[in-house]
Formats: sequence, C-alpha cells, structure tokens
Amino acid sequence: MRAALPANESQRLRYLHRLGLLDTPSESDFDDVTLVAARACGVPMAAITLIDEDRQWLKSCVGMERGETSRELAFCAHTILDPQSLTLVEDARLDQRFSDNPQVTGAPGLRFYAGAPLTTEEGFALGALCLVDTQPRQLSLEQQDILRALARQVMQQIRLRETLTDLERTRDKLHLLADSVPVLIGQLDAEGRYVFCNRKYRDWWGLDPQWLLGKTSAEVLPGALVRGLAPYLARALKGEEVEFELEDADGRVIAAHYLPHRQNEQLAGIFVLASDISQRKQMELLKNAFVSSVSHELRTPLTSISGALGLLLHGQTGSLDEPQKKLLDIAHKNSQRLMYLINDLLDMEKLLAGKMRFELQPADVTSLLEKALYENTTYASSYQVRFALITPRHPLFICVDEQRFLQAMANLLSNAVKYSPADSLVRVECQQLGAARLRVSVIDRGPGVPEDFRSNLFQKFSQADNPAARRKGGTGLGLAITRELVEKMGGQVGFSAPQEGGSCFYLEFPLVENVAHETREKRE
Amino acid sequence: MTLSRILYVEDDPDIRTICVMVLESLHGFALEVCCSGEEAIAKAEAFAPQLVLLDVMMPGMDGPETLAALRRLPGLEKTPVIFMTAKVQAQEVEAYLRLGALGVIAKPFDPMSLSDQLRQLWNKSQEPN
Repeated sequence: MRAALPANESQRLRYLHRLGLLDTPSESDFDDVTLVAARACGVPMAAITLIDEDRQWLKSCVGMERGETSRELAFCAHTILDPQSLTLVEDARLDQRFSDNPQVTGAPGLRFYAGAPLTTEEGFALGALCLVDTQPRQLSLEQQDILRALARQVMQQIRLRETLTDLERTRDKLHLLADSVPVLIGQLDAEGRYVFCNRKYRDWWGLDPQWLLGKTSAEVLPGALVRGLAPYLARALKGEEVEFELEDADGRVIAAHYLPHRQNEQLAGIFVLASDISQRKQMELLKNAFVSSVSHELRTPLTSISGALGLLLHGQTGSLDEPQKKLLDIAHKNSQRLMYLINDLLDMEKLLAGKMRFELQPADVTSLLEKALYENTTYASSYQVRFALITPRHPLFICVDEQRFLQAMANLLSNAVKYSPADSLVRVECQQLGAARLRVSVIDRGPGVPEDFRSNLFQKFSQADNPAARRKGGTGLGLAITRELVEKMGGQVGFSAPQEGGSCFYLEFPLVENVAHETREKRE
Repeated sequence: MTLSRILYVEDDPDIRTICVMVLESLHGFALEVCCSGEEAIAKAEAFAPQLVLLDVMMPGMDGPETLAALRRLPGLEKTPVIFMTAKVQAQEVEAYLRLGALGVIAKPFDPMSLSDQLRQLWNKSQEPN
C-alpha cells in the first residue's frame, strides 16, 4: 500500500533539500550510529534513510546495499507520517500496509521493520533510522528506547551539519564581499602571521593564497617592502592604530591602516586595510606641476604690467596730471593684488601638500614682533595707521621659523591696518598665559567682524561672500594661510571681539626654554 | 671700480623693454641685450661684461645651461651671474645658488629698486674674501 504524504510535505521537502545531505558520500559519524543500532538490537540490517519527492535514499546502512528505492516501496515513507512515534512491524505479511509490498512478497522477503523518525525541531520528519530483518521479530522496550535515542543522535549530527553549512555560507558571503571591494583587506594574528587576505590584497602583492596563511609578511613580501613596513607593523603589534602611505618599487602607492583588535584586553591581531592611491598621487604631481607652471606663466606678464606701471607712476617718462596718476595708481595696485593672490595660492598649495619647510628655532618674541612691526610700518603709514607694541617685561621664547612667523604676523597686521579708521592705533600685545603659553594679540579699532561670520574667519576664500571685506582688497587666503602656518609651528590662531569694539586676532604658542640664550648668559 | 657693463638675457620682449628702459635710459648702464642663451654665448666674450643678468625659463638653452656655457668662455669663468625669474620657490632658489649664481631677483621686480639691487649684489661679490 502506498503511503500518504505528510501534511507539511512541501515545507518538509524544502527543508530536506536545503540541508544538502542527499546524495553525499558516506560518513563515519552516521555509519557508527547504524552499526550500533543493528548490534544493540540484534538485527542484521539497519539504515539511515531520507525520503525525498519520489525515493528513499540511504545515507548509511549496515547489512544491505547502499543506494535508493522508490518511495512507493519504502517502509520509512510510512514512518514519516507520524513524526513523534516509532513504527513497529513485527511481521510485514500480517500488516496490510506492507503485505503486498514486492520486497515482502518477493526478494529479499522482508518481515521485520522498526523505524524511528528523524524529526526536526520544526516537526519535519526527514526520514528514519530503521532496523530490518527477513525474520519476524519483536523489539523489547529497552531496544525501542535505544532506537529512539540513536535517532536523536542522528538528528544532532544533522543539526551540527546544518550549523556548519550556515557558517560556511556566511563565510563564503563574507569572502565574496571582501573579494569584491576595491580595497586591500588582510588580517594578521598577534605575532604578525597572515590569517586572512582578500583577493585584492593577494593580487596587489602577487601572493599565492595556498602558502600565504600562517606566514609573516617578512616571509612573503619583497625585502625592501618589508623594511618599509617594519616600523609601522612593530607599532601596530604593540596595539597602536597606525596610518601610513607606502610606495613600492613599481611606483604604486597605497594608503594603509593597521587596526589592532583585542580579545579580553589582549591583542588578538591586526586588521590591515589599504587602498590604491597611485592615481591620486599622480594627479597631485600633475596638479603641482600645473600650479608651478601657471604661476610662472601668470607672473611673466605681470612683471611687464607692474614694471611698466611702476615706471610711469614714478614719472620716469614725464610728469603726470592728477587723473592720469589716479588711474595708473589703480592699475598698479591691482596688478600687485594679483601678485599677492598668486603668492598666496602658491603658499596655500605648498602648505596643504606639506611641502613648506619650517626651520624651527627658539626666538625671543619681543624681537620677532619688533621686526614684524618694522616691516609693516610703511604699509600702515599709507593708511595713516600707527602701531603700538606692548611686550612682556622679561624675554619669552617661542620655537618658530622666523620668516613664517613674520609672514603670519604680516597677514594679521595688514588686515588690522586695512580695517582701521585713519589716525587710529593698532595694538600688538604679548602676554604670558599660565606657565607654558604665550599669546600675541593684534587689536584694531575697525568695524569688527559680524558674529555670524566669525566661524568662517580662518577658512579659505572666506571673504568671497563678504562684499564689505572684498572692497578692502586682499585674497581671502591670508587668515587661512596664517592658521596653517601657525599650526604647522605648533601654535593656534583665534579671534575675540573686544568690548570696546574692533577686532582682536591672536596667535598662541607654547613657551620654550632658550638653551643657546641661557648658555650665553651664564658665560657672561 | 663701479658696475657699468651688464650682459642682459631675456626672451620676453616686454620685460626686456622695461629692463632696458630702467637700466640703460635711467641708470646709464652699458647693456648688451640678448633674446636667448645662444645669443648670449655668441656675444659674451666680445662684450666682456662685469655682470650677467639672466632669465631662467627660456626656449632653447635655459638659464642654468647658459650659465654653464658662459663659465667655459675665456674671461667669463668668474663673472657674477644673477638670475631673474618667476620661479622662486625656496628649493628653486637654493638650486640656482648651488649652480654658482650670485643672487636671484624675483619677478615681478620693482623697477625703481632694480639697479640698486644689482649694484648691492655686485659690490658684495667684489669684496675680498
């Protein structure tokens, strides 16, 4: 008699196929169970069966041929109809479900059958652990318990297998993801040995995935590269997060990031993330060449323009009347403004590219400020503005590049002068802040800075949106350059609005001891 | 001895006009004006300058090449050379000085102070070491 289909047949089949157990080779974990079942129950034949749409497939068996039979003939097809109970057939000839089964009426002449369904937590009976004999027999209660317990063991194996399959799928997905991103991804253990590398990583260094894992970078990468990496790797292996750029022998450049990760406070390993920035580097080189060339091309005609205007203005070609002088003056001032813009652009470019060199030396701030004021006095006079310098009573030293400090001060002083009313005073004050810092303030009596604009003050081209400021001339880069210069020398810039009006721009630097100065004093 | 004979090399005709006006007409220097490094090499020996004022970026022989060729001419082995150029980034200026230039004048230059600058640099080169 053909068995009916379980009520949950379609979900059951989906579950069975998703397991991936059908048509797989024999496995000792399953074979051991069938062997124990047969021996413990004293039965010559035992099997682990799975029932799919139209067949019974044997994952494991003892005392019979491994293979499959049609579902129509399968005893286990009846067992799975009751997922919670044993199916016991002491003599198949006397059971109407099996009496006409060709395996009973003909060879091999089956008589006895006991099947424990293999049931999942969800209630799907996938197949059975079954005992078969060609002799009629009975199964004691103890043997029935053994059969049930062994069926549960089979299900435990299947669940483990399922978990493993899920883990493998997740791992494959992660590897696929890691191999799809255009970033070098690697993982090292706490001794710096490779645990994982994505495809981009292996391709980049030309590494063979077969023998890469378990090796250190010193064993698999070219020597020059290893020497380049060594200091960064050493820091990362001490638990420090490290970022760096590295160029290899072929001129390829990567920006790399070592990210240490910990388990129970201990360094467990390092994640390596790196991206190819060769193209960006090339673009930077091109841009630098472009900026250098453009600045030269702009300066050459400017040389003629400002030179010719300068000669005319100084009356070298005959005297000028007032309107002529006024117009030439406008042209001359604007040609100079263009020059300042080019210089500022070049400076900004150099600062951003980290190419500006700073020779930091301890210097007495009073003499620095006196120089700064002296260099800007002519400019101040042209606006009828005077400087007042207030310095500390005893010498204070800061560590700066004198030329760059003077450049930063020139930006602040020329701004203060430009915005000051005629016949006013620009105060330059130097004060010590606590034990270790010093502030230089440049205070003018101009119109001040609107409150909503203060946060943009030190941004590039910040005055572009400020028509009032634009009328005063300047490139809009001065304060941004000042900030960059000062920060590169370890200082800070800032703005405050004095109560009495006007503006106060300030620079702050850490104080240093002047070794040379002290030595000289001691000798004296 | 005062500075009077200058070999001036510049490929840009407008800048040449201004420099000639400043140095020759206003300050009375005797100038030999050349449009290229090649022309300068051809004229230098006969002119026997006290100072060479030399542009850097020129088609054909550039400033540094011209300087090297001048040094090989009889009588010009030690003649002071001043570069006048728009390429005045720190490392560029250092490179000119390493080549043996007496000094560098940045473009755009101030026409009113150009002759003073040249005289100061030249006088310094005449001081006994």
